Order: sequence, then C-alpha cells, then structure tokens
Amino acid sequence: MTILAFSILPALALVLPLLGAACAAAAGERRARLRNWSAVIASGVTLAVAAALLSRVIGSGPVYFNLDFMRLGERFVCGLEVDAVGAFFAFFASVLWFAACLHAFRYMDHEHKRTRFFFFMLLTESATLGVFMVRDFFSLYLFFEAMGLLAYVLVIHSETGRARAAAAKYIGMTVVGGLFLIGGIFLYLGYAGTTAFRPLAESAWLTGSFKVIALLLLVAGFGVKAGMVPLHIWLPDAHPAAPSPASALLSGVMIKAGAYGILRTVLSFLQSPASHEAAGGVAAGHAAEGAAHAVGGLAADVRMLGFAVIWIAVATMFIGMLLALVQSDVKRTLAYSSVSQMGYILFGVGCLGYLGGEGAMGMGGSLYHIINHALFKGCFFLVAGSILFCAHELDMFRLGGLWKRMPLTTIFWCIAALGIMGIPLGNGFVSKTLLHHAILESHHLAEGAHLATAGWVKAAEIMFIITSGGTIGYITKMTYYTFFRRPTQEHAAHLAHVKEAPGWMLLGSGLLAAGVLCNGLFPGLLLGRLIGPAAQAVPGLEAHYVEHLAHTPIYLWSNIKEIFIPLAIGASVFALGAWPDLLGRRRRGPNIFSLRLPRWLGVDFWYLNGARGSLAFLFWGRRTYAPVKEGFVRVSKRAAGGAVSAVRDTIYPSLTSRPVAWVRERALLVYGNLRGELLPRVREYQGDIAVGTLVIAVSLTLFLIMRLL
Amino acid sequence: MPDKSTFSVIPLIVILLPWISLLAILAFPKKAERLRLWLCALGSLASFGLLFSLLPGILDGKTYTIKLASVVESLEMRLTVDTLGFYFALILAFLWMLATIYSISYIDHKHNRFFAFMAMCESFILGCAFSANMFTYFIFYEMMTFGSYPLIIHEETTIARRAGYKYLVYAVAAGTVLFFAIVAHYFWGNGELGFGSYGVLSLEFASRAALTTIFFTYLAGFGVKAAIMPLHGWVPDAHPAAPSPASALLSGVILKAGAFGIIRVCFNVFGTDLLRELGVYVVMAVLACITIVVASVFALTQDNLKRRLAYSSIGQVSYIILGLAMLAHDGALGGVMHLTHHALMKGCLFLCAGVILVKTGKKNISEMAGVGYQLPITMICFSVCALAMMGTPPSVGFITKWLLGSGALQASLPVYIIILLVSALLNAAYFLPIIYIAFFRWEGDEVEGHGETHRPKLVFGKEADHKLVVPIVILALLVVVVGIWSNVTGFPYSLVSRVVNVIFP
Repeated sequence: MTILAFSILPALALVLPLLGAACAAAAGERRARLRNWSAVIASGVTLAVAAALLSRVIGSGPVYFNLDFMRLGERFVCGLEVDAVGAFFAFFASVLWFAACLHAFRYMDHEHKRTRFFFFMLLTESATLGVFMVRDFFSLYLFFEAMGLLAYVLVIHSETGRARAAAAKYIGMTVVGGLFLIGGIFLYLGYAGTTAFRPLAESAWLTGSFKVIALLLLVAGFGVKAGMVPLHIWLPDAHPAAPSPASALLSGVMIKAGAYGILRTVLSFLQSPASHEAAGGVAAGHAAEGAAHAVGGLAADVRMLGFAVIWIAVATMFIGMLLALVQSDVKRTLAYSSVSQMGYILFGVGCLGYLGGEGAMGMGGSLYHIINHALFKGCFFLVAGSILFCAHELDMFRLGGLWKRMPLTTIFWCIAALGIMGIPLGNGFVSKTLLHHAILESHHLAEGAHLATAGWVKAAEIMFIITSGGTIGYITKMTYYTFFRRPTQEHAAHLAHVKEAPGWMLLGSGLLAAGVLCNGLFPGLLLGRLIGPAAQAVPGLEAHYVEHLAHTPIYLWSNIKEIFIPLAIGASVFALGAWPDLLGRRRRGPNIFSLRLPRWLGVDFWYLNGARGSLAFLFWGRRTYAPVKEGFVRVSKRAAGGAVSAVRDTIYPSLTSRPVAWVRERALLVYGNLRGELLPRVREYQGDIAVGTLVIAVSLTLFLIMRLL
Repeated sequence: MPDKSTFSVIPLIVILLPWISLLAILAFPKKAERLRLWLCALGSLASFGLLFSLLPGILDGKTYTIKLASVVESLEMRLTVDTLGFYFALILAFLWMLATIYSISYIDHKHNRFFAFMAMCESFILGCAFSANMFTYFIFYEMMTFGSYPLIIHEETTIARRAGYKYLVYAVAAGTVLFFAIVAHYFWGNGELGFGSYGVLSLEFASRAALTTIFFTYLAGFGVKAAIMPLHGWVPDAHPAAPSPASALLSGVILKAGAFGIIRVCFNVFGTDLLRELGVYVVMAVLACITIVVASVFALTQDNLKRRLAYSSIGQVSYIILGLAMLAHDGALGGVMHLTHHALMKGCLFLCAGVILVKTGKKNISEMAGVGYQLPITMICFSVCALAMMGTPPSVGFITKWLLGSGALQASLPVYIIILLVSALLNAAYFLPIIYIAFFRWEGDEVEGHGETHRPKLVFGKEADHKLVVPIVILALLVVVVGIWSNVTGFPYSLVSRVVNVIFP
C-alpha cells in the first residue's frame, strides 16, 4: 500500500469547471462575451491545475482528497484519489476541453441556446475529470453516470429531428450501460469484498461463473461508452448530431472514459490474489498451494478475458473501418472512425490481459493511442466544425478545393490525418507500432506456451494490419474529396465565398494539431516521462517489461517498414473507389464509397426491434390482464349478489316462517303465559330497577375512570 | 424496551400541537383567513420543531415514554419515542409541514375542512410513529385512516368520491384484518403487545402455524396501506383524485404508515431470527419483487402524470419491503432508509405535479410539451427527483439502490439485483420521457422551420407563488444533499444505522 499524500488539486479540478459553469449561466446571453470568456478561462485554469496534478503525481506518487461524499458507514465513501494513470487521463481530457472551449468561442455563434451549451459543457468537464480521479468503482459510478446524463444535453443541443433521434438512442444506451455497470460493480463487490480497484479477498461463493458475469457486465457497461461493437450504435448518430466542439469532446474524451473503465477492470482482475495472499501472510503449506492454484486459475481466466477483448477489439476496429469507408458525411465518417479507433485502444487492453503481468507493452500502446486519438480526433472534429461554420456543408461530395480557401485549416487537418493513418512523424505511428509489438509479443507467448489460441492471435494481427490499411483508405478519401478535389460545377458557386476560419477556431484546432506533431516527433518524451511511470505504478505488471516499454525505440527501419503493407492496402482501396474522380472519367461499375448495407445487418435494428417487441409484450400482458381482472370482479360481484339473494329469498324465510312459529308454540306450551304473569311484577318494581341500574352505571364509570387514569 | 427510558410529556405535546390548527379554525372569524391559515402551518411547524429538539437525546440512546391510559393489565395506550419511531416521525412531520405551507396557496375552497383534517391526520400519524405497542398503533392507525378520507375526496368530484369510497372499502377491510392479527398476537404472544428490540414472539408460546398465521394477517392488514401488489387497488385512484399536497402526503407518509407497521412487525414483533426460522420472509420478498416490477410496467402505460407517479409509489414502497425481506444488514438499512428517501422524492414529484396542474391546467404527460420553459424551477426540481428515482448518484435514490444491492449480496441472493436493475430501467423508461417532453419539446415543434419561431425562452422567477415553489425547492435540494452527505447527524443514516446495527450486529 503506497502512502498517499493529501492534495487539494483534485478538488480544484472538479470545482473550477463548476465555477465556470455558474459564471457562464449568470452571464447569460446578454453578456455573451463574458460568458464565452468565463468558459475559456475556467477550462484553461483547469488545464493548468490538471498539469500541476500530473507533475505532482508523477513526481511523488498518488494523492488523495477527502471528498467524503455519500459516506455510508466505514465501508462506502466516495473520495478522490489520483494515481499516475488517472492524472494522465485527466490531463489530456482537460487539454481537449480547453481546445473545444477555444473553438466554441466563435463556433457557437450560429447555434441557439449558447448559454445552455456552455453551462452543460463545463458541467460535463467536471464529471469527466471526476471519472479519472477516483480509485474505486463506487465513486467512479457517480461521475460516470453524471457524465453520461449531462452529455445528453450536448447531444440533443440542436433539437432537430435528427438530433432528437440520436439523443434518444444515446440516452437509452447510457441508461442500459449504467445498469450493466452497476450490476457489474455489485458483483465485483461480492467477488472482491470491496469496490476499490484493488481487490482484497476472494469471497467463497462468488468465484467461477459469477466472476465471469461480473467481468462481462463491467466490460459491457464501460463498453457502451467506449463504442465497443456491438454496443456502439449510439455513437455514429450522436457525434454528427452534436455541435462540433461537443463532438470533439464526445469522441476525444468521453469514449475514452469507457476505455479507461475497461482498462481499470482488466487491471483490477489482473492483480489480486498473489499480492493479497502475500499481504495476508498466509503461511500454511496447503494454503499457499491453494493460493498458487488460484493464481494459476486466475491468470488463465484473465488470459481468456484478454483474448475475448482482443477479438471484440478486432471486430470493433474492422466494422468501424468498413462503415467509415462508405459514409459521405464528414462527421459521420469521423464517428465511425472513432468506433474503429476505440478498437485499437481495446486491442491494447486485450493484449494486456492476454499477456498478464508481461503486458506492459499492450497497456503502453493503449494509453499512447488514447492520447493520440484524443488529439487527432479532437482536431478532426474541430476542423469539421470550422468547415461547417464557413461552408455550411459537411457532405464531402459537395465540398472540394478547400485547401485554397482555408489553408491553415487544411494544414491542421492534414497533420491530424498523418496521425491517424500511422505515417511516421505522426503520433499514430508510435502507438500503432507499440500495439503491433504487443500483439507480436502475445503471439510469441502463445507459441511458446503452446496455447490453443495462438493461431487466433496471429489472425488478430493480420486483421490489425488490414484495418490500418482501411483507415488509410477512408482518411485519404475524406481528405481528397473535402480539400483537394476540384469542386463540381453545381457546388463551385456555393463554395466560392468561403473564407478561412476565425482565429479562435484555428487556435483550438491548432493546439491539438501541435499536440499530434509533438507526440509523433518525440515519442520518448511521453513514453519515458508519463507512460512509463504510469505503468510502473500499476501493481501486477512486471518491472522488466515496463522498463522495456519506457525505452522502446520507435524510429527503427524494422518498425517503419511495417507501414508499407497498410499503405499499399489503403492506396488501393482509395484508388478503387476514387479513380473516376482522380482521372476525370465517368463512373462505370459499383461505387464502393457509397455502398449501402441492408438495415437488418446492423445491430441497432435488432436492438430496436427487441425493445419494441418486449414493450409490446408488456403491453400485451397489460391488455390481457385487464379483461381477466374485470372478469374476476364481475364473477365475484355476481357471486356475492347471488349469495345475498339466496339468503334473503330462500334461506332466511325458510328459517323464519315455519321453525320460529314451531318454537314459539312449543315454548308457550311449556311456560304458559309467562309474559302475562311477569309484566305486572316488573311494573311494580320499576322504580327500584331504575335506581339500581343507575348506581351500577355510575360505579362502573367511576371504576373505569379510576382504572384508566 | 431499552433501558434508558425516561418519562416525558414531549411526545404527547408533539401529538397535540397540530390541534392548534383546529383551535385556530374554530376561534378565528372567517374574515381573518390568512392569519388562520398561517396558524395552521405554525401548528405543524411547532410540532416539527419540538420533535427535532428530541434529536440529541435520541442519539444518546434515550427513549421517551408516557402512558396515556391503561385498559387492562398488559394492554395500555402508551407513547414511546424510540429511534425508529423518531425517525419516522421526523420525516413525516417535515413533509407535513412543507405540504401545509404548500396547501395555503394551493387549496382554493373549503379551507377549514381541509386544514382541520390535515392537522388531525398529522396528529394521528404521529401517534402511530410514537406507539409503544401494537394496540396503540392500531388505534392511531384506524383514526388516521378515517382522518385522511376527507383529504382524498376534497375536490368532491365524482371521481374523487369514487376514489374515496374505494379507499374506505380497502382501508376498513384492512382494519378488520389487522384487528384479528392483533387479537391473535395478543392471544399467542403471551399477552405481550409491546415492541421488543429483538422481537417479542417466540416459538415457546405458540406453534409455527400460529405464528405464520399472525405474520400473514399482519402483512395483509398493513399491506393495503403499503400497497403490496394484490392489495394496491385504491392507490392509483386516490392519488390523482386528491389535491396535490394530499397526494404528496398519501404517497410520502400514509403509504409509509403501512410500511412502518411492517417494519415494526418484522423488527420488533417477530424479530429477524424468528422470521428466518419461519421462512415467511421468502413470501414477502416474492410479493415485493412482483410489486416492484409489475407496478413499474403499469406506470409505463399511464398518461396521467399523477397516476403514473402513484404506480411508481406502489413500486417504490415495495423497495422497503424487499429490503426487510433480505434479512441482511445492508438490505434492512436500505429498506428503512428508503422510507425517508422515497418520501422526499415522491413528495417533491407530487408537489411539482400540483404546480403544473395549477399553473397550466395540464394533467396528462402528452400535453406537457414545453412546460419546462414555463415553470423552469419546478421542472428542474422535478427532473432532479425523477433522476433520483432512477437511482442516479449522487442522490438518495442511489443510496437506496446501493444499499439494497449490497444487502442482496450479503443475503447471497444476487437475483434481487436483477429486480433492482429491471426496476431502475423501467423507472428510466417512464420518468425520462417526462423530462424530455418538458425541456426539449415545445408546442408546434413538429413543423420544420415553423418550430423555430415558437421556441420558448427560459424565464426564471415568474412561475408561481413562493408558497408553492419553496417547499418543492427544499425537497429537491434535500434529495441531493441527503444523498451526498448521507452520514450527517440527523439524516436518515445516522438514525437507521443505530437501529439496524442492534438487530444485525
């Protein structure tokens, strides 16, 4: 257990955006400049705080802040605790937020309800930073849910029919994902006896299948946010529907929160029994044996988990890439691209699980790619926002020749494109190299240990390369059509008056483009200074491998030559789709850039029908229940009525008419005219009787009063 | 009974204070209407304040007791403020106070009758909370049943009359059943009707069959008020028919009186060991689970806002029952805490529904497009509470959900977690559309282009009388504040954990 230092920085990082939001709301539409400035300043100061936090954590270990929220006795309390990985994420989230605020300064001019947008954007920043600054699932759930629900307002912002539909999908998936998550957290609590990321003990009943369910639920819960196939359906709709700064954030940060969660899950399940058994000081021989057995079993479990995540990741990246290839809307392409890139990140996490304690490379690649994707995808979305702002158009086939009119924007876009394609000098090259190393190591390990899954790991590597090629294909296509192709006759007039984007927007996207270049040119900086220490802080990873990760040489010929296969694939895909436009010919044959798949191939079709079906089933139950209830009421009413009338009309008369007369006759026969004899006597003593009754009543009353008081 | 029990007249005074309102109604002339109404509010305020003054002593472990009357040797009317009773009394007096202030502005005819019965009802239900034994509880409970009838039929429409009739039929039948339960309890319980810390009944004096019968008779008797599923029929009719403050109290307090009775039966009459021994908790859990899910499904189909809220109440009260039936520390904690949590959330929701009804005349959810812009503060509070009902952190709803989930794990029955999650999903399905309609739709937005011109603007500060808005805001704030700083002294956790820690050490 590392000793924690108290620090107020995490709390500041939470509160500053909230203050900014309050200022923005107070300023309102009437003092619009003040509002925009307060958003920019708040996110800027938060960025500074996050940077200070990062240097503090890297320098002197994890810090905590006693938030003391939702304290339930000693067991559950929500507090802030930041370790290297968290600080790292928080820093990059705040960079993105700052850039998005800069961009939104002018971008929001052509939107409505700007105050609401800034307000919720800053609230979401606070929640998102919170996600990265906690050390247990209990607290994480708080911020994760807050982030998901607050972002709803950003998604629905434009309030068009399309945005509404996207937001409905988004909120549905968020709610369902939140339920998966809390279910998983409950089972984790049962499994580990604690909600901390570091499990303490294995409880007896929650082993085996329950653990697997807990894992599945956690991964699914985070996977919804991370855009993991097949839970990604909200993503391609929500990103284009949101205003561009919000899409940059959704894509740059929020889905990373999901990836972060999956990373944490895998790390939590990765460490454990070995360390805590040792800490518990279990000395007895058979107990140690059992522990070793448990460790072996657990390692195998985690390896299976890793394998599953690798293939989920492969599916995610490949499907995302295919769908990105056939879109025409720039933002929609970018959204599918986000799905695909999340696949890369999960790929690294999967390798981490597969390699177990030797998986530092997978974790490093994943972390590096998270930052990279945040930077270049943020940049892409901000540039897309600039294009929408200036040209009022986002269909790439209606755009063209923008490089002449928006040169700086084009340069930023190209830098981002360099990054995502994985060309040397761009940052994507570094992370993809790391990921490729990780999968090679996995394959190596599997071969060495004669695992049954070795062949599949090799297949995953091949898919990885193919997907990289496809990525190059769709990015080239998008870049070519948007910026470099001569616009067609009908759209040329419309594009003639387009000017360079305003300074604020350039500032935002330029900041991120600079980050892309910086990460690409100086890989040692990030690896050695940030990711290495972050990985070192993770218990369960072997130090040797972490050391190796921190000093991986990137710009080697053996790494650079790997890019040629994807490049060739990408170029051929692009050429196959775009040759008519490149050569200025008329198209013959199918256009692979506008293929449309049938709806039933998409998972959202099945989700929607499933939801509709189950609702219909429920309502059908209600409809069938109502007549049953009415019938029951009718029958019981009739039965009650029947019983009453039976008594009144049949039973009572039959009892009263004849038997009573019979009894009376007999009685008269026996006692004679008793009444006639008794009545005169009663008349005689009536005074005495009255007095006696009175006395008894009074004394009884008195007695009762005495008793009661 | 616990050791540190001291004689005190404060319980009696707390119960009698609401009658100030009655006296005020009698004493003041018709002209001084405002003064009179404020005096009513003052009565409930005073009883809440006096009650609150007991808090330090309660936290100290004391109980305050006063004997009212003794019928026969072991059958006496006695008021005792123990921790559990204090806890219930605190929330009900608080909610009652807010509802009274709210109704000063809300009730528009027959003030006298409404306020008089409101005060009487508060007095009776405080008596329920303070009862030291089942006999006293029964007497106050029955008086409360009849005292709340005029609140339900206050509007005097046909619907209200019919709802009131239905309420009476259900409640009187339940009272009869309850009476038999108490007689049986007296008979087989060795003449002991009081509440013990670990329960008073035991297998020494009665057979299993007898004890099981007593338990189910109690469950049926209290189950009508607590709206356990086959006995819930009056709830969805009575809530929409009653004026909003009354429905807030119905849902927030009167339903809870039944649930509180069940808590007493489980903790103080039977005791958890006996319940486990008899195995009856399984039936209770199954009934609660069915109620939670089915009521939520029914709520989905309602278009009338208050009716939807009423079905939601049915489901939520069963959370309490489910928590008890887990027979685990966290489950009991969560269940009993939900008493307060649900009162805060649902009280606020019903009061919001009242403001919507008064200010816009809209009863149905489908008509509520753009209400959020007309009544921003109200609808923000509504949204906060609705999200809390879904179990979104940080809110009281999440605390409940978390504790119940944790209790399910302690009871080694993760199947309850599935019920909780399904219920949360259904809650989301019937609450989120309301928020969506209120804030993201407006009248005429279906027409493209045309909608833009009608886009409403958010206007704060003009929505309604302060007496309507302030109680709502207080409740919504508490929903969040109690959710965040749940362990503050005087908040539910501090009280309930004392009770539960005794029972489940």
